[in-house]
Amino acid sequence: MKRSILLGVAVIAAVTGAYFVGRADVSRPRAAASINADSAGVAAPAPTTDFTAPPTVIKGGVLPTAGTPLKDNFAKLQARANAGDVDAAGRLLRDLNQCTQLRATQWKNANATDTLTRKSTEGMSAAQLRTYQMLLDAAELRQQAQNDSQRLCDGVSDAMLDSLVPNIAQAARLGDERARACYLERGPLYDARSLLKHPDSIRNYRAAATSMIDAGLAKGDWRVVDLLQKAYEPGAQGLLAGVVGTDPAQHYRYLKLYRLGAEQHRIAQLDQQLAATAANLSEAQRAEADDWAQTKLRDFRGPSTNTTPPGWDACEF
Amino acid sequence: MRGRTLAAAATLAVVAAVAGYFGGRIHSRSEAAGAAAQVEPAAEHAILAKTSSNGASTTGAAPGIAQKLPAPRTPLKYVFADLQSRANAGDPAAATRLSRDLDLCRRYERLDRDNAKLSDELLGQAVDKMSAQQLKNYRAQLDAVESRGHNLGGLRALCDGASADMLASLVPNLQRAAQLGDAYARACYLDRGPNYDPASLLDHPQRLGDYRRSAQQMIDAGIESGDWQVVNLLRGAYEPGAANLLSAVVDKEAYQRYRYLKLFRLGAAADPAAADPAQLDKDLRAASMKLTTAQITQADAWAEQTFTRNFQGKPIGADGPLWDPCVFPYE
Repeated sequence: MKRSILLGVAVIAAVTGAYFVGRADVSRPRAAASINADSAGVAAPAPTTDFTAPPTVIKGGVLPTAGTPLKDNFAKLQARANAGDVDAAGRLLRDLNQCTQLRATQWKNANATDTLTRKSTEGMSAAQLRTYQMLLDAAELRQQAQNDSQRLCDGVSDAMLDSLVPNIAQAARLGDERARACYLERGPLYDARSLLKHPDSIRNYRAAATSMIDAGLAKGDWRVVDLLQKAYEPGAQGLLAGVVGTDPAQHYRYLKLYRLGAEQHRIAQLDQQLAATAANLSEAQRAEADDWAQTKLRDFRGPSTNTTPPGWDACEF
Repeated sequence: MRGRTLAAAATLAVVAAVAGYFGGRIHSRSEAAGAAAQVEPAAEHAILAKTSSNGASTTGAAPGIAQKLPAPRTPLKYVFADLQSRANAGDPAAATRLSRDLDLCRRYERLDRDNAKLSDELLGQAVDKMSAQQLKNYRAQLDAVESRGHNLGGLRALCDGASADMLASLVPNLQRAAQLGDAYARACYLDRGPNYDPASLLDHPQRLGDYRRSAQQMIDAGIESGDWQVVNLLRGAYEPGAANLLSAVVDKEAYQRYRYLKLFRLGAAADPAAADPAQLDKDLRAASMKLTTAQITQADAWAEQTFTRNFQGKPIGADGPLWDPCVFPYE
């Protein structure tokens, strides 16, 4: 019985895996190669940031055409990002992210396509053939995307890839909202390989997180509110929880703010969650948090739940 | 909705495991035979000494240090210091018990909250328009929530009063249990290392160095004791594009990748349900492209010998679920 359940799970996992295997998995970086700090090819060093000082944000002009080889643009983009150019910082981290995951995608796509094309169509029903054709079309699209990535990433060195997390942090400091959400949620854990080489990035995270939270709240960034309500929740174990410390009153406060900005279809569930959280608070704590949330709501525009649907990925660039 | 269902399923699985835990005593995999000949409190200095044993549960293979463990459910706050000092002294059973109790307590709050959420959701449903079958299902779900609540009560007794400092020692204690031969701890530690408890990494970044220094020894011990989990983790770590901690410890060497793949392939022949042999053959062909014929011959011979000597026909799935190395047995 147990075996058949396991088999069932394995089959479902295999089918699901086959479907998702080719999708560019932007949520998890895959180091395209081992990281070697001694590699040549980095003309400008990754940002060595003073995380406590407020950044100077500039607009640095036109960016290189999308898709042009990163190896030719890296030094310029890095220098501009270091100087505070938010657009260059955002572009650099996205290009690096794409290159970081290329090798894994490449390998898995090759495997998936090979398996697909070796499949015999003999005896397939019309419906099965249609599905098969759709899978082939998807494989071709993946191949095209992969070719684009290859053009972008050819010649990118390990040392360039190694700068991914510091560049996410820099873009986040300069106000790139997606970078901020990603860095706050994952920080240096986003690239575990490079973390082992740079344990000091843990210290940088702690130093940077608080000012990023403040900046996010001041800008009315719902992503930050959602990340905070989760981080403060008792039992939370992520890096951000380690920085802010779990706290039922703070959890309630940010959940309340999030609830005030929620779309209609999420309200019932959030109210239920709020009620459960409120049960652990005093009347005074609750009243104070309610007031704070009502006041803070003025800094926010648009629905909270729109940018952060259930299961949203903070590192989806 | 999908998220809630998944959360509910995860809660169900973990709490079921917890229920089992309180039904009996913890034990390690039968092949998890390690014991320490000499262990210093600093985990990275622990020395593994493989012994033959039928389980590290209550044995403590190092002579003179084996003692009876406290009864299950004994509050951790009362036994933590004793278990910690015994684990530090090289008692594998104490190290295993401590790391698993800490693991449960680290997750307790979340489990409890998830069950409460599920309960609230169920109680918020309108039952008046349910069919007889729906009502039956509904009652079954309520019973399950109640049963899990009961089990969580047992967990509360274990975890109440455990301090933040105690809970923050999960990773080093997992590492210690792994070094003392607990194969489950070894797989989990190799896979996740200090990232198993990211929040505590902020105060203890040196744990990254501990991981780097201790991983190779655990890999060797795993291969030596025929641990499929370790082979599978190595297979993943050597995969092109691998980005986890273990992949940062092992080199990108094509020869090593091929060697572990080949070993895994030999196991898959006896247990094709656990891994697809055809896929593995394809991976092997790709990996072999970067090797000379002599290297392939040498790697094949190593895999054959290691498979025969250390794994002795053991099925791949015998060492726990490959998809999650941090699932611990509670029985």
